Amino acid sequence: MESHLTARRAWVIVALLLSAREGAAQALVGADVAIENDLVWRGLTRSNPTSIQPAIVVGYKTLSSVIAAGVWASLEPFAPRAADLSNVGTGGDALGEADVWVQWDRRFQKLVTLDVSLGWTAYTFHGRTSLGGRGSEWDTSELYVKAKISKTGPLLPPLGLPRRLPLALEGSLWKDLGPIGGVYGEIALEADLPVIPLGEPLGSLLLRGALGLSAGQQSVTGTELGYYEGSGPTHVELSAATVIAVPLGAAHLTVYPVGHLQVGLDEATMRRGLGAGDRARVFFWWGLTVSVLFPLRREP
Amino acid sequence: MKLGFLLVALVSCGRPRLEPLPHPTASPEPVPQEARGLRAGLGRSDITPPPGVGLMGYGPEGREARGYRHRLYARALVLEDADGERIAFVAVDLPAVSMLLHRQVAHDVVGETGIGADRLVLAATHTHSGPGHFFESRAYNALGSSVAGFDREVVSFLADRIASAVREATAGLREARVVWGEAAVWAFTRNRSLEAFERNPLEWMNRFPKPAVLPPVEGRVDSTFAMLRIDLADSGGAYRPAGALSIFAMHGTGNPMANDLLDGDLHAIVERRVERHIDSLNGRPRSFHPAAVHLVMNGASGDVSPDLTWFSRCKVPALARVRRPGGPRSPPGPELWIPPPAAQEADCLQSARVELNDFADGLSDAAVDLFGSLDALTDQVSVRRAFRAVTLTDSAQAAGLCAPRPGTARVGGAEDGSTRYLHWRLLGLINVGFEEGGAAARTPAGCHGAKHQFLGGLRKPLLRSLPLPETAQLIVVRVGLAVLGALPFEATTVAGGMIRRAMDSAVAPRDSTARRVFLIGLANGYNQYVTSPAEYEAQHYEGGSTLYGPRTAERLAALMAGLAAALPSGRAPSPPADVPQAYGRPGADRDIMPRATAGPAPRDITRRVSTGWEGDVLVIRWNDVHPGRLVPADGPVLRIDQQTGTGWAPLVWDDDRSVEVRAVGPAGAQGYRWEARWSPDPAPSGAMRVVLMARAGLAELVASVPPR
Repeated sequence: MESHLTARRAWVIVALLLSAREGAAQALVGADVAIENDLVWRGLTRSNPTSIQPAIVVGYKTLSSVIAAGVWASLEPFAPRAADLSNVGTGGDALGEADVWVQWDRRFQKLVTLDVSLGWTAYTFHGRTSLGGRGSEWDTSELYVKAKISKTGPLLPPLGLPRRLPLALEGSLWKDLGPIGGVYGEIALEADLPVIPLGEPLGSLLLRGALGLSAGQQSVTGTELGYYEGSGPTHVELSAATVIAVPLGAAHLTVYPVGHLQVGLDEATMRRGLGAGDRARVFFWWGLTVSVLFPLRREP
Repeated sequence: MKLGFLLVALVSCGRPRLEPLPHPTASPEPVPQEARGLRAGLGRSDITPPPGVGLMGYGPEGREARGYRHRLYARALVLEDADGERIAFVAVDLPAVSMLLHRQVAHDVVGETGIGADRLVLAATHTHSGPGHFFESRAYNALGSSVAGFDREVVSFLADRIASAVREATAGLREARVVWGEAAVWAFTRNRSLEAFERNPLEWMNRFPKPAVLPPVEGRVDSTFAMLRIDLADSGGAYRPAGALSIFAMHGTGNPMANDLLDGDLHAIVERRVERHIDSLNGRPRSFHPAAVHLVMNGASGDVSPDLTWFSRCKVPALARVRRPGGPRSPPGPELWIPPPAAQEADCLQSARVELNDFADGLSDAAVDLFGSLDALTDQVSVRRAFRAVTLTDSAQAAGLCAPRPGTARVGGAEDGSTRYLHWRLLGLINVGFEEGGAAARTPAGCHGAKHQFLGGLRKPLLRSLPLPETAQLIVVRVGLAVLGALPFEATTVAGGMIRRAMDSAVAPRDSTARRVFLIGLANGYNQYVTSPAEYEAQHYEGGSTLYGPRTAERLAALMAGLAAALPSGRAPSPPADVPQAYGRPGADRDIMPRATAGPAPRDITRRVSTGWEGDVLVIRWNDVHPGRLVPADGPVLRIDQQTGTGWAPLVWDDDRSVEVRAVGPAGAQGYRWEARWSPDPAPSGAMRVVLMARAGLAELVASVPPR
């Protein structure tokens, strides 16, 4: 019943969003492949062995809106050691997690730029709890909303200020619809710094600092499912990434190396392994994503 | 090729090969003629290349040409006085002239016409909607437009046609009477670099007093419109108006950067308007080419822009992060240059062209009035010249010049031609000088003084792979009472004034008669800008583009004064000219201009044409041969006729500002799809037809035009 309801919610969102068609539009299909030394999601280490994460996305983009749907998976091809955290568990199959999602983005541009996203995502886990992994009992879905405010226009050059303020403030809320319950929130400050302007390949540097917050996503009694040990701030994550865009005919190839430094503020976000001593308040992890996006058709 | 990849490729290629320019090109000794007075000849040649070349003038913002509007021409005037002294003036609807092109034309015509490099003034109108790819310096070929590279075929294409105009003018030499005149043309141009201009220590004195009703800012340019009227003797010995040579300082930037059509720009309208006026004086019917020839050359236009509104300037692409379809775990989209919306750009281009036409009509009126006011014609005119090819980097210290270096101030573009890089800052915060004035070094040092040079240690390999010209060809010509200084620079108003004054002072001791000194810019090569020393300190776009340092204007003034002083008085011959072997580094030859072998042959194509109205615009679509096989310069492509009582009368050809022709795309075995859009103003009444002209291997094709 629960999965039926969440699927119906998703279709309602899709139907609503498709009605937002406007102006010059473009249909796109893309594929990403990421490799991460640790799989960390919202401060929680899900897998210590290197994971590979393929994803496929289809989207429809108008001047101010983007509607997209996609599937993402996490594969753990390298067997975890006994003390490792792992979605699949020791001796499990490679597929640890597979998610589907649908998201609508809308841009409002006046004095500042406001990007709003609404979405739904479902998490399915394919590991074995008995082997130390995550099984289907962890399956859940979430509705989420994001808002990002930035300034892109000229900003008083006579005062010596840059024409394009490279800072953006982002807030997001994620309401769990399944067994976890509660809400996860995140506040982030982002600096989007252009590095190589003279021509393609273009590169930019993205610096981001985020604070995670949990409200009711902890296990109160210790028997029900929960992500964190308590409510409140979960972690601080500082990341640095470059986004290098390489034109590939009509398509675009994007290379996205990123490094993260995490400061755990919750016992769960400090957990780095299954061993008693596997606790780290501060740790580093990295990822590399190669992404390609093809336009399917363009309307005049 | 994308700019970033291009720069990397260029640097890795290293210094391009040194190549000799055509030689010898010196003129033979003049042979006195039998006629007692002046002789003159006029010629014209279409130099419109096929679409596919890059439009030069706006740097990397210059688009690839998709078609053409006003065709590009080379217009030639050859003058020969009673002593056999010849000089050829050629005005070309090009962004600039290269020394390679100048030498090639001289080499091609010297044997037949006696006009070598030292007697050829080849000057560009400076349209920013003309082709590049013909420079002896790789920097201009690589960065002149968004289409990078040197194409030897473009050099041949242009040189052959320019030479043809010179030959036509020489072959048509006959008894002539001429007169110089000048008028003040106010409120058409403005100084685009006022902040730098205001730094000049002495107040700028315009040749003509500024009308009191105009604000002071209107007086910050040289408002002189100079004209040489030429009347030629007809077969009966009567003198009839035949042509004119005009000099007016103004950038050819009527078309904004978003333009994708080859176009003669503002100057084309002034050229044609005077030509049509002269034809009407002679009772000639309207034809594809007017019989009269009006050469328009540029003066000290370095900081002079047409006084158009900001509505005529379209937006440039902006760096922005692309919103890609994504979900919770998707990476961010790439940061790319995002062009303005196509509809917005189309609206901007439309309004720019309306403004361009209105503006040029006003300037044309002034030119026609001036032509009509010139009546004291005479054939007792002597022609003399002094020529020098100066190696600018020889004894640089002694001459006060520096090895050529561009400044970062030029990266952002000029005030009315700002590139996408204007105000760009490293990491969004650190000013690296991509803005006018923002690049001036706080503590001027070294030969280049206040010029800030970008890229630090990377500069050397980049400049090594993108060499800039190190030679300038200077020529001073006397035609009657006028002394003309032609130089391969875009001099600012004040720098031009400095050079003119120096020439005037040099001539004054010997020649006390009323005389005029005019400057012709962008002639016989291209060495970019020259500012006054005070303007240089400001490091605006023009200062950043003054390649040879702060003392360039002073040095040029001395050199031009030296040439002016060398002009003989009386009937003594022109001083001997040394035309040394010149060299260039154009870079590797690329096939950029579409070739005559592209696509199916004419015999394999059946042309079909459709016509229809889209609002007030007549749209003509047809299939034809590929660009390269269809070369606009080879002749008219289409004509629109109107039915009259006795048949059909031509309304327009594809050389009218109301007709835009575009190469749309391949049509497989049926060649290439072409489109012409005619925006008549006002729309004619009655029956009309479209005629696709017969060309080699293709028969004429006629299509009716449906009623609106």
